[in-house]
Amino acid sequence: MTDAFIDIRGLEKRFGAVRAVQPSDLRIGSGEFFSLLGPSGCGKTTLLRMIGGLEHPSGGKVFIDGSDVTRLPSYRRPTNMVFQSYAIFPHLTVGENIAYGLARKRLTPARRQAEVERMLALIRLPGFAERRPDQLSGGQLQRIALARALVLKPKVLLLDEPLAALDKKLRENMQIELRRLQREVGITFILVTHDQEEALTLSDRIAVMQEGRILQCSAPRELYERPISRAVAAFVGEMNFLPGRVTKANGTQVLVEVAGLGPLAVPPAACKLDAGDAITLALRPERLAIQPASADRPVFEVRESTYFGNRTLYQLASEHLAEPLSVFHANDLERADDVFEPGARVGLTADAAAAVILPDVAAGARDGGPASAT
Amino acid sequence: MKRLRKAYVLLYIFVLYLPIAFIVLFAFHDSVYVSFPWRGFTVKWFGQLFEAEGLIASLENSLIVAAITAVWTTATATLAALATARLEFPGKRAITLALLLPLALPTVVIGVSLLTVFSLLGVELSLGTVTLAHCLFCTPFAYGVMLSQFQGLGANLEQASMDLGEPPFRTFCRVTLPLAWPGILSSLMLTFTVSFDEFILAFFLSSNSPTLPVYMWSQMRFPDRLPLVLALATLVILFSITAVVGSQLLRRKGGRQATGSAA
Repeated sequence: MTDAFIDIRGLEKRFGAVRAVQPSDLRIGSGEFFSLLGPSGCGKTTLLRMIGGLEHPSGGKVFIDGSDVTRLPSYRRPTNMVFQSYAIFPHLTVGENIAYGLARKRLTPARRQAEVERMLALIRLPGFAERRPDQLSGGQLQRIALARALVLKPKVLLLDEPLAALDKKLRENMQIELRRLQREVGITFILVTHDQEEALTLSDRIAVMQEGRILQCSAPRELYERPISRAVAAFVGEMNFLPGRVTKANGTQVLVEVAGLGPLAVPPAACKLDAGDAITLALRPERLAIQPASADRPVFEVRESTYFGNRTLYQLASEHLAEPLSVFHANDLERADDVFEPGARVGLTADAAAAVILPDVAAGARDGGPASAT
Repeated sequence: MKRLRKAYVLLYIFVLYLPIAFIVLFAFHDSVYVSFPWRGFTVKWFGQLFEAEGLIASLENSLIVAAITAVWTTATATLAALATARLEFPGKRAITLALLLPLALPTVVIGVSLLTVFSLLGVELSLGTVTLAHCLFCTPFAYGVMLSQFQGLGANLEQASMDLGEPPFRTFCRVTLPLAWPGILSSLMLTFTVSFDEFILAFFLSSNSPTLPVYMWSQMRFPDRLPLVLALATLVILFSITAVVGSQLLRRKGGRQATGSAA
């Protein structure tokens, strides 16, 4: 990232003795769709509110488009926020809500009207200008909150869990809508969400937060396929963690011995490894494949199966493993022998190229300290 | 059991409102004596009210005091409630307590202490001193109404307004005031009524410009004027009930609006 449109340096927030946000660095590019992802209470909303000027940082600085906005109140910042509760003014009509921030801009009534109409078209609610907010659904209020912020052409749009209150189908539609809007207006979006799927589908880049820290900041594919720590791997999607030992390491490949799965040739890790090092191997459930049991393969016993329609989640146990492995198996309607009952004995192959070596916690975890996300 | 409870409630309400009913009843009684047997219906006492010496003046006094008290306490309590509902500052709890404490003080104590202070300072008793006392006395009422109004509204909409570019004062005018309007009206009505009905402070501090309750008290010395006082009391009751019911209706409307915005 060469073009740091938003530059956050050592930004932190303390509430008394509680450190809501540890000193964090973050650089976000112009026009980027950026997400802050983490469980509730991880500090993501506080970080967002500090960018918007709704919360005073305890330390650090925020730069937007080259200027220091750390001390500016929210009404002087080139940012606008879409609140989780929508915060639509109940005493104003839809049109008055959208035009609310335009009062400062000294437009002629005709221009203002045109802007409102344009926004209503953009959010696909044409003709809604005279409606009262209490006649509208959650999804509609959500879109009006978006329009009210976007009409001011902010440099940055901040979205605080904007879709959390909507039901699943509507949420999926709104996700597509959000992505479309962001492409159309070309404004930098910063989205706060606890929904990893939402973050993965919408974002150009994602920062995963936990306990006030940014653990990793990457593009969705990299975040999902190459997590740098166990915490990130566990939070984003399903993940199996297997204890292993390095038997051979060179620049392009690492041979790992994993109890129960045998030797695996996996891509090199970010850190330097030597033969004999203890590691944790992270493997996605969909990167494991159930095979018929045979003598030359390790044998697992089916503990549990959970049917998901297009696929089935199996829990496979082995005497070599402390915890059962999760395996996703695509359901094949053509084959009757494709279903494994609990108690069945099966074989397993792993897509070793998709495995990720995580430094062993005992050998010194790296998922501590302020992560620099550039 | 259920029937017994019902009977208790009815008895309670009966006892509560019986004296008031008697006042209204005897205001229409065609006799100077407040006693049965009933001698006939009349509205002449109401007519005589307009000729009674000093009555109109005391009514004017009361209206002036109540109006100033209502506007002043509602305005200051609105600001105080907004500050304590929205901001964090040292001593906030102490200030909140201090604003509500006069509710717990006996009015006689407030009256005596104010009388002492005014005489120490050499301030002559007048309608002004009554107004000051009523402002002190009514502040907790206004503050309580406005605090619950602002707590019900939440800070979200004000934050949204500021985020959309409106500085604090413009946000106050465009969002806070319009949404808090039911609370403000309710507070105006409540404080007006409390001040209008207040007797003890006015008795201590009004000197020779009595308010209506003080005037009514003074008329009690003349037995033949009792029906007049009853007629006046009937009007005051009517006015007070209207104001209190109105303020409650507005408050409920305000509460509904507040919850509507949070959805």
